[in-house]
Amino acid sequence: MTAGIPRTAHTGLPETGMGMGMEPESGTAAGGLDARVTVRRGQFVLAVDLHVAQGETVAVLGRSGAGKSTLLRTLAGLLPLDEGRITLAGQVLDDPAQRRFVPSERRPVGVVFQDYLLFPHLRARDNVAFGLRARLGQGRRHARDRADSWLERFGIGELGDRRPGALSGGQGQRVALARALATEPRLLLLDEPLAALDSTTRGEVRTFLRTVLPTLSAPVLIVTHDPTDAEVLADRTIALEAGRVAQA
Amino acid sequence: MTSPGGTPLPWTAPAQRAVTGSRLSFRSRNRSGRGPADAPDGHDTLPARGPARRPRIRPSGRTARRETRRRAPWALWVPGVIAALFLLLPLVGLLVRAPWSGLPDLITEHDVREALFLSLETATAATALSLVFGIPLAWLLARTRFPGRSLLRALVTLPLVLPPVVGGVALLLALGRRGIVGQHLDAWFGITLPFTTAGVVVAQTFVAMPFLIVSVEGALNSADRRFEDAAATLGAGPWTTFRRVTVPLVAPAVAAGAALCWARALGEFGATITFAGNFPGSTTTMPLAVYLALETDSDAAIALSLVLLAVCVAVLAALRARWFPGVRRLLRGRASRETPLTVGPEEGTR
Repeated sequence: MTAGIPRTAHTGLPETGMGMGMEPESGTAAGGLDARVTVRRGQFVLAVDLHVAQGETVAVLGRSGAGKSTLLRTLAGLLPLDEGRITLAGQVLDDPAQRRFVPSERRPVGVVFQDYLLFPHLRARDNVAFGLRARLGQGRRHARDRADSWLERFGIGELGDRRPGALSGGQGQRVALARALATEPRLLLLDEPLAALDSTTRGEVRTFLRTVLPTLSAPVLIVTHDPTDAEVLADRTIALEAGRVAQA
Repeated sequence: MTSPGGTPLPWTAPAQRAVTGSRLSFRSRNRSGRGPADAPDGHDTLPARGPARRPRIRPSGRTARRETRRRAPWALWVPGVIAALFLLLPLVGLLVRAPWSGLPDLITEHDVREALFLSLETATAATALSLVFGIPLAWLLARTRFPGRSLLRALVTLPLVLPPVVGGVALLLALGRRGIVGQHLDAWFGITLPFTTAGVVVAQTFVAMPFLIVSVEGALNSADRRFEDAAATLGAGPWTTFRRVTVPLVAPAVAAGAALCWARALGEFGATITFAGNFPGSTTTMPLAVYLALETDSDAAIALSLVLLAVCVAVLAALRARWFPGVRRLLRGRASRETPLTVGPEEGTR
């Protein structure tokens, strides 16, 4: 699926004044993510060019404070761009120059948060059904059935009645992934998917992600500080340092 | 990467890892070049990070507390016991002097039942009003930024410390027949609030709503807002997020605030008698009936007080029960809940 798509991740960005204007980015498949991200936070500037093709998994590697989470938040629509443009599957999600900003709740983007952020007051099933009801507007019963089949698919069908507090780290990860994928996102973002786990569970979840991620047609972006995770899970790695791409 | 003998050496593994490319180069570049010192902290880019604000110092603190509890000094024991006696003695007096034999007759009297039901109704109505209007205000104070927000927060909680009689006078000036708003209510809609049952509810709401606001706003401030982010990424708009995520997450605080609010409304005296007067059947609530009875028939006053006491004990028991964990927290640690009242440093920087 990724064949024929030039894997262009711009390494050096111009320091100031994005000289790229509004010309369309080349080398992006119709279903892919195309992002030119500039965010300023006081002294800190995040300036990243990012292209993720459909079916491709890209890891963004960097230390804490490198801007990984900021990048992820801009893509998820939780943080508006200061400059640049985010296009997903041909749809412009954020373009401050044209005053376009699609808020988080209307972006076809699924996010697995660092410590999963499963709603503690809802059972695992209802956590997964939440997005089905909110984004896809499904009825309660239908959404629950769908949620159950997602849990089933991830091998935790019997845990639907549990609340997040009664789930292990690995199980929580699976519920979080099911919840994110159930809304049929056209981009999946994983924020430090393995950081919250102990070493035993890490291996298990890593294996799990390795089997699931390649089956997705949507582009996947993994944010991590662990080079091993990046290598194992992603087709391609981008290193982020102090808000810039350091290595493609 | 093996020893000459062919067996893997224990220290070869790390070296092997280092050689596998990107890992090593990545780390070494970081060390030599723009290191972590240049990089801003994570919370600069993620302002809503919950765990970062709460350093984990609990275990040590808990053990320290347990040790001091074991060896309580006399200087604290003596005044502490005096305080407990002082608080309990009046209740004992009430129970000792109660006209137990005539109690059933006194309590089932028409006036008493009327006052009791009026009190229960108005306190419940005041609590309902406080929930409907107080939770949104708490949310606005906790989640939005607008000029004068800190001042508004301080003013909103003013009825907590204001003498209720002053509140009653203020209500008269605002909503009375000649009040700045009340005159229009009267002229345009024919609505008269003072000296009516609705006026009782208004007075009770005025005095009690701040309890709910303070409780809910404190919980909203300490809630992890990333759950709301998660809800947004799942397609929930602001209203859905509020209903299905925010409110359930602070539900214990809502329950606690509502219970305190109800108890405060039930006991309301000063604002009620000032704003709504004392008309049996329409504005004479239990506290007013107690006061009224004390002037004529002290036995009736004691009986009425016992009824109120029983209601309050029942409420307190409900609060201590499992389904109100928030109240227990609130009752146990008032000081920590008081903080949202003051303008903390975090408000200033946001």
